[in-house]
Amino acid sequence: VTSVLVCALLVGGVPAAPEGFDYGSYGRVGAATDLEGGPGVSTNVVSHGSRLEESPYLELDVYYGHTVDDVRWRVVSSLALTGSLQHFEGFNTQPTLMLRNLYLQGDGVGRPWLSVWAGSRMYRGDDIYLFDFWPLDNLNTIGGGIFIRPPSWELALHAGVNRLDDLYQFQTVPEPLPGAAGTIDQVTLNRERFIESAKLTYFLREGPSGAKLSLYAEAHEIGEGILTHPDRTTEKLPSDDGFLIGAQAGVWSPAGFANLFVRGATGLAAYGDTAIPYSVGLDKRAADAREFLLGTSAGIGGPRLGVIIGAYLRYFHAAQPGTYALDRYWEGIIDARPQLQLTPHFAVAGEVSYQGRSTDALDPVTMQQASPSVFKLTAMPAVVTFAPGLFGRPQLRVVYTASFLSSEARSLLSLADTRLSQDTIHYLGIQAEWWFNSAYR
Amino acid sequence: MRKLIALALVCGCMDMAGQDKNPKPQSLVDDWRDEVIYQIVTDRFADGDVNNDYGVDTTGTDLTRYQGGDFLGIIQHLDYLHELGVTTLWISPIVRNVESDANLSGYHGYWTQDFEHLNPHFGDLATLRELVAECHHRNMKVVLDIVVNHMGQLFFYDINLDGVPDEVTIGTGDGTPLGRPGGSPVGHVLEVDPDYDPRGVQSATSLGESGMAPIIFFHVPAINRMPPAPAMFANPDWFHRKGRITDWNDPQQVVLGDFPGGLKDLATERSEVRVALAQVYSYWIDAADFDGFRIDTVKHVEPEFFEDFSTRIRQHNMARGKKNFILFGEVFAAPDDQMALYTQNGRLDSVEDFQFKYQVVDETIKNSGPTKKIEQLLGSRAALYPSTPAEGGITLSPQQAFVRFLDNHDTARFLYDKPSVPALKNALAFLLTMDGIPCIYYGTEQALSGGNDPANRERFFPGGFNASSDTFKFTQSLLALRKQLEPLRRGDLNVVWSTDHSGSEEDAGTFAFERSTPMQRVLVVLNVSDTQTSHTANGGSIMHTGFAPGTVLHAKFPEGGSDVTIDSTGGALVTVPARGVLVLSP
Repeated sequence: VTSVLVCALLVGGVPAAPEGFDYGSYGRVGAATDLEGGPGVSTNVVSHGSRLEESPYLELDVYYGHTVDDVRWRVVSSLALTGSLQHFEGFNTQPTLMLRNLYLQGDGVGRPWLSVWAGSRMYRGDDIYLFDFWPLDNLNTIGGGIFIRPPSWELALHAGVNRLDDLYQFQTVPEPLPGAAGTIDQVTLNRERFIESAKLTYFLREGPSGAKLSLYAEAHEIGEGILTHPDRTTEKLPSDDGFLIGAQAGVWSPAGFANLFVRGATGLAAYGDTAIPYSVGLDKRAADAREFLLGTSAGIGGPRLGVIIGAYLRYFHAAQPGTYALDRYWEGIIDARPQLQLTPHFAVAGEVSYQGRSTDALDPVTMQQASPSVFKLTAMPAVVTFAPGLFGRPQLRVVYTASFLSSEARSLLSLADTRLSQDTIHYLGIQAEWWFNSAYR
Repeated sequence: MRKLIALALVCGCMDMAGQDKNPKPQSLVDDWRDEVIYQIVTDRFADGDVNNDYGVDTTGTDLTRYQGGDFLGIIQHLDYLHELGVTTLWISPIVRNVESDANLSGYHGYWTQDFEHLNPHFGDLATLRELVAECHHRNMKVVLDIVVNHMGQLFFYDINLDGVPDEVTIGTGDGTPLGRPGGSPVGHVLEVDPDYDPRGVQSATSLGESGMAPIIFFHVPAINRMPPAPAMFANPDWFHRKGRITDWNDPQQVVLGDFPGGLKDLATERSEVRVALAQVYSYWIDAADFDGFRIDTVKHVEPEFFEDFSTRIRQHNMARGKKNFILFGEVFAAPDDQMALYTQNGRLDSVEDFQFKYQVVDETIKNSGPTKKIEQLLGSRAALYPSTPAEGGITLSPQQAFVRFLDNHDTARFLYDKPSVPALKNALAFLLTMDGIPCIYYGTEQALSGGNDPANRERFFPGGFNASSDTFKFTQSLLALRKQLEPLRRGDLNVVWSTDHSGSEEDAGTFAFERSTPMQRVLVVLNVSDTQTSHTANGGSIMHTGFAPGTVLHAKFPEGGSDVTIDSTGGALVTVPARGVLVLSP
């Protein structure tokens, strides 16, 4: 059942790319109702819950490959769109357009085992598909790196920056335009976050089966800055940093694959590369933030029956000094999606998951301990696959999910949508998901 | 099933012990005279968590805005307070307020919008519980400041019936705008805060009046100017709707009018309002195990309200086994007969002693006035204040339980009026050796000197916590002495020397009193003169004490003071330097 594609992902190797232009895409889209007259909505209460209720997303990949003197150059560009669909929200809405991948990589530069790249890149390893989550390494930077790939080994080194359009990193303040009427937006805060990463992987391959072990480390640094408040007073933003270490063990065979992830992070790295430290210590630094994560993913099965599994347990506390903050919690989810292949292009599937979060903090509305949990049962009575296997895509599917919310989950979720104050939330929809020749490979 | 999965999921790791339940009630006070209260404006004391610093003034200079203080900040400095020696914290109101009004912020907490939820600037319920628990762990108690007189500016009077809060200019030209004979022909009325009208604020147009103006609750989420909560308070009949007090000498206005700033006056004479207020504040006793309430703006509530409210609170505590829960009120700047009203018929256990503040602290100590005034004040009160405790209240009579203070959040600090640290020490010494329950306003121990509100609500952090400063050490030593000598806490007070002299006479500025229990007697002698060393004798008359002739009194304070021997007639000649104090006992 496990597709060749998945094996390719796990091995980490890069299939030979064609010369000249080629194209790829990842996308998902769907229509859903909550059976109460409203749209189907997500009922996740953990950071990375079931992906079945995700909003539409599209990546359009354009590549150009060329080989010169045994060096294979490849330009990768990925345009991503998310958010509004005009056929849903009307023709005056605009999707969010993002330029994600935009890099050039050369393989076999100087040495057959050496690759170099530079540019903007989604730079990441293996995911837990059911949660759309990369539990070990998932960086989005502009920078560069190298891959060293002697037999059975891969060493990936990378350094990059980001400068988010957020008052944590960037600010402009209107000032009178010198010598003329009007104003100019004077840049008063403009600081980059530097991120470096290293990943060492050892592969043990035995025919179509194999195993790998990866060690991973990541460092984040940001310099000082000055924030200007609306009343024109200023505040010094201190420099900050963070670190992350982790590991992954994986096995694969024609019967399936399994991965185990573990990582721990401190400071800026605990929040993630594109997140600002929204809670900080008295010194306005993120040094006291902590994250620990243990996760797993697996896909196992035969020609007719298979199952995708995902689970993680995560402890996170933001850098705030209080013991009882909502940003100090344990969370976890366990999820399984069995699929029965009835014909080469038709399957039925289901999904069962339980997710919860536990914190000492009290819900500000109910004044009770804020430990929401959600139990979900999903039936996918019609799955039309255009490629065989659990991960065969493109795929059309009918999805019905019943989410059973704890009282704390109802309280939490209803802050964002009053309709989520019910015990049971329904989701009935039709979805499409595809990937082909995607940049994620 | 779900629980089993949850158990498997978290492997027990998620079982984090927390403050998720009401704490077990504790009764830590034996005798409130043993307590020394330390008054904290939470927003100003210490910023323990910058993540709740929403909309704060980052400069520390705009004291009309939030500064960032919170419950966690107090927790982080409990050791400082414990080291100082105070035993009870009085914290400013904690409930959710209107965020801002007329460019001022509700940092002080007296603009209630929601009686049942916390002001998010200060922290969450778990942290509040932690604060009280940490205090109790140190045998410190926590008194919560509450408001029953009014809520924030939550509605406007729709005087011109147009549905929006206007500044209305109306008039008929016949001199009777808004039905007030003698008024100007044109009236200018702010619908959020119109003048007092004994009939209730009237709606009116240029054609004349139209009866009671309807009120319209605001709905401005950005500044939390929202309808009252819980929802039962969003009832127009629960408010007096008579407009803002304009004549502070009119008793009706004082009780029924809105407090300036558009703070809407609750109809506290209505039984359902009384029940509701007792209910919401009982909730906070249960939620955090407070040890008492300081009640704001008591003067603006009819005294009878407290017979009902206090009884309900006391019964609630009795049912939970919590004892000695104190209820004391602010009868701001009121004369003794008016303050005393609020302690009669079991209404309140005590009041803040504004007469002590004005007559003793301001007139006598700051101004080096005749100390005879102190004796007169103390001697005049027995006839006004009950001599027996309120039923179900603390075990002290109102006469024994005055909450005495030098300054507070509504008055200029001592050092602003009298920029003399020796004078401050003089006043502190008096406060901490006389009877009643002393109350120290935060920062007094660090010689803060802010003027009137808001200058008297200084940001105390980050540098305010100097445990080696001169005034800290002085206050600390007096608190230790009060703790050591039982008569200074529980003893009867008997004035043995006072004087009309405040010039260059030999006894100018002197005041002496004994504090005595059946087992022990202590003599305290002060000199409020700024310049002159004086003694307890004048024109051949000498101070007489209750000590037996020949008794040698040793100086308990300050250290190294000279002994005093009682002469054969029981007289004692005690010499005290300018602004000095002597505490003597055998």
